[in-house]
Amino acid sequence: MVRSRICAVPILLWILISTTPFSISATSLKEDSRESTPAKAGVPSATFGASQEPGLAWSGQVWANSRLYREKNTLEESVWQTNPRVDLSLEVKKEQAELKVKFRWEPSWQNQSTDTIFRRMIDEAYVRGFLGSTVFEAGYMKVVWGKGDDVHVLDLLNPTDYYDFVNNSYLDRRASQWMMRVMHPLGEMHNLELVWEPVTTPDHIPLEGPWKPYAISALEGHLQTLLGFTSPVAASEVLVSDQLSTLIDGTYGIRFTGSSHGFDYGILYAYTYNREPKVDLSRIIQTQKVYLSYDRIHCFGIEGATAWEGFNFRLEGGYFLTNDTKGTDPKVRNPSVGYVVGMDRDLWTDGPNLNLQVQGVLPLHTDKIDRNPLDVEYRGDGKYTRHILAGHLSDTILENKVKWKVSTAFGMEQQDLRIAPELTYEPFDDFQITARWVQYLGNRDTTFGQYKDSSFFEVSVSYRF
Amino acid sequence: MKRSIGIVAGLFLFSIGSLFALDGREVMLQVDKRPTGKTSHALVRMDLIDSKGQVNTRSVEMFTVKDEKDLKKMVIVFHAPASVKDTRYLAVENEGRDDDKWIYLPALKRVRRIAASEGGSSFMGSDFTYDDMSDRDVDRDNHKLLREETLGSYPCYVVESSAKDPKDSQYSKRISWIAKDLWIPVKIELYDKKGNLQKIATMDKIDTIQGFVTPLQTTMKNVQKGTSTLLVMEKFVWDESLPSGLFTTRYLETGKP
Repeated sequence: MVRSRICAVPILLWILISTTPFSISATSLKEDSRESTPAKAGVPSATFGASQEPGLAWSGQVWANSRLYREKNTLEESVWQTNPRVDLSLEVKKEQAELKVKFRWEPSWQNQSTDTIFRRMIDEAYVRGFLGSTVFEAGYMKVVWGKGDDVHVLDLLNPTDYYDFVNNSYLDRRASQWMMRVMHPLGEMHNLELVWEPVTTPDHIPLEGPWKPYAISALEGHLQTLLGFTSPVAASEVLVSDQLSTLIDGTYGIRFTGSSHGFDYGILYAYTYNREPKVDLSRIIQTQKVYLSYDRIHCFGIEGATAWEGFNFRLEGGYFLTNDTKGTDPKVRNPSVGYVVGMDRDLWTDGPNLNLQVQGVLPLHTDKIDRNPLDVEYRGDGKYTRHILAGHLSDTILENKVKWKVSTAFGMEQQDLRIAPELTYEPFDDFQITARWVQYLGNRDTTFGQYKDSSFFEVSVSYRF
Repeated sequence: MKRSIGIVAGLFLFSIGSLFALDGREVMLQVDKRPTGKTSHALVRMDLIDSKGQVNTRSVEMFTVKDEKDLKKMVIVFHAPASVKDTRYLAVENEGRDDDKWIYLPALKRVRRIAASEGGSSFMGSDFTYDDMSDRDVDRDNHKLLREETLGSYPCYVVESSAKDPKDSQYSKRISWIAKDLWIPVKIELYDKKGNLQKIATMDKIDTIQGFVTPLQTTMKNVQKGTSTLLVMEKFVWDESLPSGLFTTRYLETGKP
């Protein structure tokens, strides 16, 4: 049965492609086979430019930062941590296929497990093939869904690696995932996308270090009490994942995107998991293990973007249907609605750019959660909705050699805050020196407040080649 | 018929002479009417020269195509420096509404629509803005023929253009020197919103390619900042056959037409 499912998926992809309305396929083929203008007699059709040339290309970045974690009581006990990193990208292009591999190495990983080192060292590795106008991709890769700027609810295809919480770039905190993707154009400005992941990988959550979540520390304390241990319990020794990674537990996604009359839009469906783990303590006494499990979800999403009067507007909205449709099963999360609404614009011509986005998550049937303290989503404060207002203001000055940026994220219900002013100096192309201060504020049990002891000052240097 | 002219794009166009007295709008229409190739493809080097004379070099590849309504689509692919490599930009001119503009940023791995007003932003940190690189409808501006004079070896019409809607342009006015025999602007002065001279564009090298007069080197000098940008066409082809898939958001994402 499992075997037949594996075979069936690629066939299903082909069936879906080949059964798109004939008129659309015919139009697409016709448009792709024609050229925008016929070449004049004697005009060479061969092109030039690096983007078209087959061959091997490589690029990369050398980066090093030195981070000061400020001890709140005494400056002498503050900790400096220096961390170099090397990125190397290789790209092999042929007429109808490409291979892309991105390696990454940080010496600080040497104490990690082999699996973790491999996962982080191969940042991406995939092949891309072109069959007519259809694009096939397969491998260990990152795909971004949704119209938000680094804030999403529909970007469901890759797990998040919280090893540096949200202090690194959006793509750096997305972990690659084995997947296959097919993109098929429907006319010039519409596109159908199909994705299959044979294995769904959960989010990677640090169990030690400055970005260990408060929930893990609280769990360790709770387990020590529960098991009657005199010494602290390390979460890394007791957490066990349920069998998530089986062949039939994959992720399937389909997305249609397009653009017309100044609007970009898209609809999508994905059958995947909520990659954030749930803790099951029901077997703790017998096994002295804490089991992690994950909820299956169906996601129905819409997205859109447009520009008007200098504003760039964007929207993502999704309905996340779990197996607990009525909200009565305390072991399964309730269905929920999530959205991102955002805009940005230059405050004046060539002036600072202001970017504001609100991300909201609203679980449904919260009254049933609130009545059952054993419900996996139960909260003592009764606040089940989550809204984060994220924004940044940025500009370049001094002949574009200096860029300043202030980023903030504010938890509206939890009243917690992350604020990060930064200054980047680029004396010449591809070489940057950046200084930033990242401050977390709020209560210990809040998204940002849990890291208030991990606020830091950082200086980094990078060179791209 | 769409009537449009851009600072850089307009410099590519060919001209036919006129023996009749013209007003400012008619001069600009003549510039706009110059027959050109249906497509263009250029490998462009940009030297950004700061106020201290330090030079940073960028390399981009530009593709344009005009449809049967004379509406233009343009794709720009950034090749160097490494920090912007594989960034791709698409602008689609529309009739009766703002252009559609998208940019693909490899660091975000997604195609992002950008507002037309962002056309006032610097193009790759240069002294050109995105709008400078695009066409502009002739009838979005009022044009006044100021005088006729010789600039270098070119007898010119001198035309002042200002946006009918002041919000519709990043400049308060532009003064263009249009070479009479070529119908091509050989110099443009650009004034900021306060009416002060901000930038001067000059055409340094003109050649004939495939029968079309083509500017091969242009300098944009920002007189307020003391910076300048040298834009050199290292390769240029008219009427190359370009696949229609090139001018799509899909191309921005995959790099394959």
